Amino acid sequence: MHEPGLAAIRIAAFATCVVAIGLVGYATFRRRSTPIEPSDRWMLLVGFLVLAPLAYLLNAGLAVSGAKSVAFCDSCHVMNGYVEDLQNPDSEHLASQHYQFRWIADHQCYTCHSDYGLFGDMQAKLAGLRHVWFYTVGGYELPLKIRGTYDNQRCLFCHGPVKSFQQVPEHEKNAAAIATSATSCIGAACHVSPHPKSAARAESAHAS
Amino acid sequence: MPPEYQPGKSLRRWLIVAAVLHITAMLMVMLGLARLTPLTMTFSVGAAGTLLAVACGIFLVGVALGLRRRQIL
Repeated sequence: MHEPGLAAIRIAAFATCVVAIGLVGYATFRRRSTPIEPSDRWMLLVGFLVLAPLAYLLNAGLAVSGAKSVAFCDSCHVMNGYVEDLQNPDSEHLASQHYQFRWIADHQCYTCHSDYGLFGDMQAKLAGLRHVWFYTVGGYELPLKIRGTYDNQRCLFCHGPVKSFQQVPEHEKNAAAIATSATSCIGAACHVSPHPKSAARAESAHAS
Repeated sequence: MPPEYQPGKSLRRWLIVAAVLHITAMLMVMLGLARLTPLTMTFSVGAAGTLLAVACGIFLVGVALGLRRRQIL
C-alpha cells in the first residue's frame, strides 16, 4: 500500500483504536464507579459509539483497498510462484508481460481476476473469503485450478476497443465466441499461458 | 437497595462483557492495521465487525435501561 495519504489514515485509525480501548478500559475496569458517574458515561459513549465504529470503518476501507495489491496476494505462500514469475524480468508469460511493461498500472492480480463494475468487486471479495477458508481451514488440491471458465470480458475491457485488436482477422472471425468466453484468449494458437505451470503446483518459479 | 435486587451490579456485569468484546474487536482491528494479510483482514473486518456490533448493542440496551430506570425514557 504505497498510495499517498493511506499511511496517515492508518496511523489515525491506529490512534483511534488506542484511545477507544483506553476510554472503555479506564471507565470499565479502572474507575468501576457504581452507579456509573457522568464523566464515565461520556467516556463509554465516545469509546463505544464514536471512536470504535470510526476506527473500524477506517480499517475496513484500508483493508478493502489494500487487498487489491500484489503484495496482499503474495502473502499466501501458494501464490508465491505466481508473483515470482510476475516480477521475473525474463518471464514471457502473459501476466508477467502485463506487469513488467505496466500494461496494467497497479493491482495486476486483482485487475485480471475480478469482473468490472460494482458486482465484480463484490464477487471478488466473496471469492477472496472462499480462498481464505480453503487456505486456512478447508484445504486445497494441487495443482491449483481457476474456478469455472475465465471470463474473456476481463481481457476485452481493455483490448476490445483497441484498433490493433479489432484489425486481427482471427479476432474478427471469432468475435462472438471470444465475447462469450466459448473460445479462450489463451490457447495453443492464440496467446501464451498467463502463468507458469510450476506456479499451479505451488513450486517456486526458479525451480521450473 | 434490597440485596436481592441490584440492577446497578447486573448492568455493570453486562458493561464488562461489552467492554471485553469492544477491546477484543479493537485489538483485531489493530492487528489488521499493523499487517494486512487475508487472515488478518478476515479477523479485522469480519470478526471485529461482529464483535463490535454485539458490544455496541449491549451498551445501547444498557443505556436504554439506565434511562428507563431514571424515567427519562
